[in-house]
Order: sequence, then structure tokens, then C-alpha cells
Amino acid sequence: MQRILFWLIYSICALWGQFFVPSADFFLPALLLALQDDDSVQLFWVASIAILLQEGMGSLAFGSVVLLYGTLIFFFHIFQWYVKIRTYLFVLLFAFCATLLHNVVLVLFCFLQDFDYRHLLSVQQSFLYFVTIPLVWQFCIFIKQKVSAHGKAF
Amino acid sequence: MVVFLSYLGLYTWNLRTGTLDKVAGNSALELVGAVFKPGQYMYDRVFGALRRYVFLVNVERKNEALEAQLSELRMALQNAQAGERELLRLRRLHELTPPQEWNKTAARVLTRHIGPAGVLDSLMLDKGSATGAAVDTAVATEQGIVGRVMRASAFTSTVHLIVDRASHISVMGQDSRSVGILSGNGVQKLLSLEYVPLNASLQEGELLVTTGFAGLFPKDMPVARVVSIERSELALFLTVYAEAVADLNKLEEVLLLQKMADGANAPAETDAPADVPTDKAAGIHTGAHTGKAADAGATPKAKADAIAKAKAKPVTTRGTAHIPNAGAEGL
Repeated sequence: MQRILFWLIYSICALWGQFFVPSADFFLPALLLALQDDDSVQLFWVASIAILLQEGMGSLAFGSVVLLYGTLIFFFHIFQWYVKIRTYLFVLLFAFCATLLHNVVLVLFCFLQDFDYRHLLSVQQSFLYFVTIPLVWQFCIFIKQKVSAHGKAF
Repeated sequence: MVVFLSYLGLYTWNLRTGTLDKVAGNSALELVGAVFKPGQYMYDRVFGALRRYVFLVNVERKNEALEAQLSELRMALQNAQAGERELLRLRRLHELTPPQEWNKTAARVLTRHIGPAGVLDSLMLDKGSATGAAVDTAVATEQGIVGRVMRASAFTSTVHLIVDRASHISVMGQDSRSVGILSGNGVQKLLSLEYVPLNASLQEGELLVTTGFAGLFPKDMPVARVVSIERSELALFLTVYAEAVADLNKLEEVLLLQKMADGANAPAETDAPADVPTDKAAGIHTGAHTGKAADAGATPKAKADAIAKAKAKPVTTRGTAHIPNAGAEGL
């Protein structure tokens, strides 16, 4: 129940985060947290809801966020053999790959749908996208630790 | 490999049918709308009160200026209404089918494009397909066209703005009647009017209005104003840049324009008594709406009778979506 409440509050905060910072992806840290928790049921629900929300809010045909998140899940399972998954280095590496992949997927899908993509390749937008992931991840870890410190299992 | 091929199959199937887009749009837009609407409500209550009761400086001066503007607009409206009545009479006289009329519904802007997949310049509205914002509904302000509804769930929708690079609208000069395609180049950038012939009499400062060709937008709605025209001996068309008349950076409320049902078209058709031959029965030409020229089947006496009876009927006018009678003249 606490997990459901956590993800519900997280989703609402993530939507408002994307309202104020449109070019960032506030659901990607959720995906990372779910991967790190190593709970396949939780991962399934978190990924499904994140994909549904991002695809529905967006203007591209369904599939861009599926490809992005699916590839990142694949990268996660590759990287975990080389770097410890709960370290800041891993999170930064994950964020870097996500930013790169996000630009590639956007250009690919815009090309497929005959949209202009030149204005999307912006250093400022990529920086915001990159910076959001470790910051939000760190904040969520902080909240989880506070809740755990008060004796509630999370 | 199997996963990748499955993904490709799913993507291709969705592109052809649009099923997953509808599912994602319907569910996600509703959830996002449910999160943003309370926030907008609270923002309006808190900051609206602040604006109304704290910032009272210059209120009286603004009131006087607005009252003066209102008086001028009332006079302009009276002139426009007289002109409209004359137009209706002339249409009847020449047996022209009146244009289809449009319903107007107000909607509030919740947010602009959000999310990593929000690549098009768009808005999110608090109205959906169940409340007047079906897909392809025209969206405008009192100044002019803003865009059209791109995706819609039951109570939330997304609007594609005219300034987006993927937006293309058929427009024509209000005076010159030169037709072209108005394309966006991004927010804060001028719009491009393409495919205007070199010998077109388009002028700088001329208002561009919708042609109404595709039936998505009402005819003669202001869209943009010509800023510059370049003629080149090497190009086949003029290079024309225009600026949107609606202020797309400060949108808070918009109007949704929906076509009324075909049965609610011209007042004369519904008001005509049973013994007056209908346009189709008498074989009289009904104009572009039906596309059938049936003049060959009409006798002169039947035509004259129909005209006389139509003239005898009282003219009832309905509000049209030509909001911009003031806009069409003055903008």
C-alpha cells in the first residue's frame, strides 16, 4: 500500500515537474528506481504507466517512449555487470545514455513521421534532460531513506 | 531479434490503425487533465483574488478606456449587422446556399506541450470530445485562428498550433484573394506563406484569412498578417512571411468552433412552408454545397415563384462564427 501511495504521489509530482520543465523526463528516474529495486511486478507497472502517460501526452505516434524505455532497460542489464547499480556513477552513466538515446529516438521518429527535428537538438534541452535524472533519483532515495529511518518498511 | 520485430510490427500496425494512439491519448490525457485542472483552479482562485483586490492601480483609467472602446465596437457591430442582413438578402436573391454555421465553446488552456515526446508546438485544453473538442475542431481566439484539435480524450484535448513546423493551413489575402498555404516555422518565428504566384496582388500588411476549403476552419477567419514579400526572378513563387494575429504566447482561454449539423444550416430552408418547392425538388441550382447544377430542370415560372416566396419570408439571422467581423476589418 505504501508503495502504491509513493508511486501515486511520485506520478503527480512528475507531471507537475514536466509542466514546469517541459523538456525533461521525470518518469525516467522512476524507471531507474524500479530497476534498482529488482522487483519485476513493480517494474512492469511503473514502466507501463510511465509509457502510457508519456505517449499520451506527446505528439509522436505510439512507440517512441516504448523504444526509449525498452532500450534503457536493456542497457541497465548490460551495465550492471560492470558497475554497481546503486552508485552515483551508474546513475550518471544511465542519465548520459538516456539523454543520447532520447535525441536519437526523437530524430528517428520525427524522420519517420516527416516532422522537422532540427529545433529539438538543443544543448540546453539535453542538459535539462540529463540533469533531471540524477537529481530526481537522489531526491527519491532521500525520501525512501527518511521513511525507512522512521521504521516503516518500503 | 524477436522483440525488435514485434516492436516494429506493433509500430507499423499502430501507424495504420491509430489504435494505440487512441488508447494512450484517451487514458493519458484524462489522467494528466485530472492532475492539472485542480492546480489551474487553485491558481485562478489564489492569484485571481490577488489580481482583483490588490492590484487596483489604474483600474478607473482602464475602465474609461475600455468603455470608450466598447462604444466604438457597438457602433461597428451595428454596421456589421446591417451589412450581414443585406448580405443574406442578396444571397437569397441570387439563390446562393448560405455558409455552414459554427458553434462556439470556450475552453481553458491547461498547459503547453509537455513530456519528452511533445515535439509539436501544442496546447492542452480542459475540454475533450465529450465537451466540444473533437479531433479536427478549429480553435481560435477573438483575434483569430490558433490551431486545431490534434488529440482528444473525453474531457481533455491537445491542440496543434499554427506556428508549428508541421502545421499547414490554406489561406488567402483578404483583399487580393490570393490563395496560398500558411506554414509554421516554430514559436517566436514568422509564418511562411507558400505557393503564392509571382503575379499575385498580395500586399504587405494585408490580412490573411482562411479559405474554408477543407471544411476544418470557418471561411474568412483571420489567421496572420503579411509582414514581408520578396519577389525573385529565379523562384516560381513569392517568398512571403506573415505574423499570426492571435497572441500565441499569452493564451489562457480559447474558443472551439464546431460545425452545426447540416439540418441547422440556412434559416430560409427550415422556415419555408410545405407548399414551396424545395431547391432540390424544383431542380434549382443549390450552389457549391451539393455541387450539382440542376438549372436545366427548372422552369422560369417555378424559379420566379420560389424567389417571390422566399422574399416574402421574414429573415431570421443566427450568430455565425465570424467572430471577427471586427477582426476581419480592423486587424
